[in-house]
Amino acid sequence: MEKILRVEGKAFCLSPGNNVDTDQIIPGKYMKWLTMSGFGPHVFEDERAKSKGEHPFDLPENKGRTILVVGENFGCGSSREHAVWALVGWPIRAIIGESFAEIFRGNSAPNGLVCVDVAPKFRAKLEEWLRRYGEANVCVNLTEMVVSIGYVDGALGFKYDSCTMPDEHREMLISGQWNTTEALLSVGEETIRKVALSLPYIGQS
Amino acid sequence: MSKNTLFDRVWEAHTVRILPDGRTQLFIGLHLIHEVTTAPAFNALREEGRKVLFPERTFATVDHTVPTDDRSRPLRDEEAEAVTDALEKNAKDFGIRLAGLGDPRQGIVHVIGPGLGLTQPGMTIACGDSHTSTHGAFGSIAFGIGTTQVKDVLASQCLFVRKPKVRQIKVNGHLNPRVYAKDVILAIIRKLGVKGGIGYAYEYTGDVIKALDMDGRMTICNMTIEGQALVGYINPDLKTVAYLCGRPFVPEGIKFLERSISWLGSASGSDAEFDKIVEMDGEDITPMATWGTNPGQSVGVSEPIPLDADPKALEFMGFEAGKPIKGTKVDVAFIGSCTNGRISDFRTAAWLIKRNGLKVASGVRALAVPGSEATKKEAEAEGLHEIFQQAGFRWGEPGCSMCLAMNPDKLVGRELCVSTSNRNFVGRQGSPTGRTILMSPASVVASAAAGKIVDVRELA
Repeated sequence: MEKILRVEGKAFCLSPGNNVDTDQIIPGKYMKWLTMSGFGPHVFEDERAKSKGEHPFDLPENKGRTILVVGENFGCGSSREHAVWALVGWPIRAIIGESFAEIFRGNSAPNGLVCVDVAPKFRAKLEEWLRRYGEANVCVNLTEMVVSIGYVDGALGFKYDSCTMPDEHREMLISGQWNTTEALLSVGEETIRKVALSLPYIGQS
Repeated sequence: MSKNTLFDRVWEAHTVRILPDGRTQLFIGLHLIHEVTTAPAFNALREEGRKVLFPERTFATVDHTVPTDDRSRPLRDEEAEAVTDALEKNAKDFGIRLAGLGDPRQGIVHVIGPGLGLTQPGMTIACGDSHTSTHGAFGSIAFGIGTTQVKDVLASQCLFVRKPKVRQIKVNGHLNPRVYAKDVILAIIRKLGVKGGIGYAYEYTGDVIKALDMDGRMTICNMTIEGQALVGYINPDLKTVAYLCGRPFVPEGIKFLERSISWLGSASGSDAEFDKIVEMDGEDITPMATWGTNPGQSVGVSEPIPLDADPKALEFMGFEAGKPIKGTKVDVAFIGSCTNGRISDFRTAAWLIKRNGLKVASGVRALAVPGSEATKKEAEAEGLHEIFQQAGFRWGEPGCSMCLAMNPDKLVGRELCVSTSNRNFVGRQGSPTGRTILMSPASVVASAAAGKIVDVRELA
């Protein structure tokens, strides 16, 4: 995976975007696919069908926007990584939210999806700003851990606030080293086996 | 920071190393897999030229996509056939045990793990399914993972995880008649909220929890994730030991005694310290029902919907704040899933049917689906299937069924389903406009018979 130091682009909101579950993000019927790709067009499919073109993912002004602004507990429910694959496939590059469900968050970084937490107050401001100046550029900077909003002409840094994400996810994204398998094995098979054998249900059986 | 809890001890015993950033490389004692979230993980192993490090510590089954009626191969649903076929091939290629279709051990992964005795106290357990928290009922640390992590476990039998804080949830006193484990966990999630558990593991204790049988304890731990705690567990006691005795993967004789001592010894000590303690009274809990579109949006079935209820959820459900949920017309009734698809659930429901001579109301489609082949066999040996069938239920073949819309059992249109499953998310049961009311098995049969939502306490 390439290094991701910042994501810059136009943004749109799911409002209020609280407790958005992964069944909504990608309906269960798509869980029978054997691949990790192809889910993008089906993101929020049921909700979008009901909204008949009024869903934020279908509004013409949001076309091509790659940063999503959400509320709290985004990605709750099922552990399906398909939800991340669907968002990345859209493509959404970064999600700015008040909080994320843990399994969803864990699934996001290895797929290059940037999920950052911001204060509720800042999110409200960001929403208000985007309502007025939807064409503004938004930048999630992982080096400095700030979210900034710029003018329509692209001048960045007009308004900004700090954001957070777990250190390990930030590390994965900025180093481009997202494959944890190698790191897990780097401790050595013998060390892993030693821990296994020390367990009562393995060693003494 | 928590100290001397079961969680701390089991975590420590499975720690391979602690990274400079504070995360733990945790050894996973049992890895359960199913057909839906694993195929890309195996593909990645192949691409990277890796083997499965401990094939004997992974166990596979098929549950999410399997039909609950005709199971002849190839399955009618081509996509379901493809994922089933892929799992069979992957299990064979990588030397993993599989309880596939037709195997007497097949069933919902969170029903067969405990049922076969694969799940044991003091273990760490991971599975690509958020309801893995179920296994915590045995005093294990069990949590759901994504597909990338499934690959990590296959390749290294380890995961990088950050140790959560531990919150003790104490349910004191006793439960009133017709109030069950499902009502308790719905009441807990209502109290703590659907995001109250972020960063926490929950230890459930108190007289109410201790009095529950293992099936009830699994119901509690199962829905832990609905409050966003990844792990929920209950300290092992003699009920835990008795449940496991004689199960296929549990050792016998003197070894069993030795193991039991180690299990019981893993329980949180009297000197255990928690990051937080929450207390509730069992007597206050009544039969619960959800009114909204997440599992935290619930009320006692005889109470009105809260005045501050989320308007968007109400609009979707067709309910009004301040109005009762009781009396709402029911279209579908479902008993089953990893939450309530175990023998005690079917016994409770069947007993109520028999005792009150209940019949499913006309116009209601009712479905009872055992969680595993073993549960089905046990229920049928007791004649429970006949009780359900005579009452008007379809008695299905084991699987996830109507919980999650990945197999033919689905809602149609705006149908309203009283369901023993775990999620009332919009679209969860397969229809974008279908509505789900989460309840206990007893509440579901009572409502199925009345054709509308009722308070099960009103039955004789």
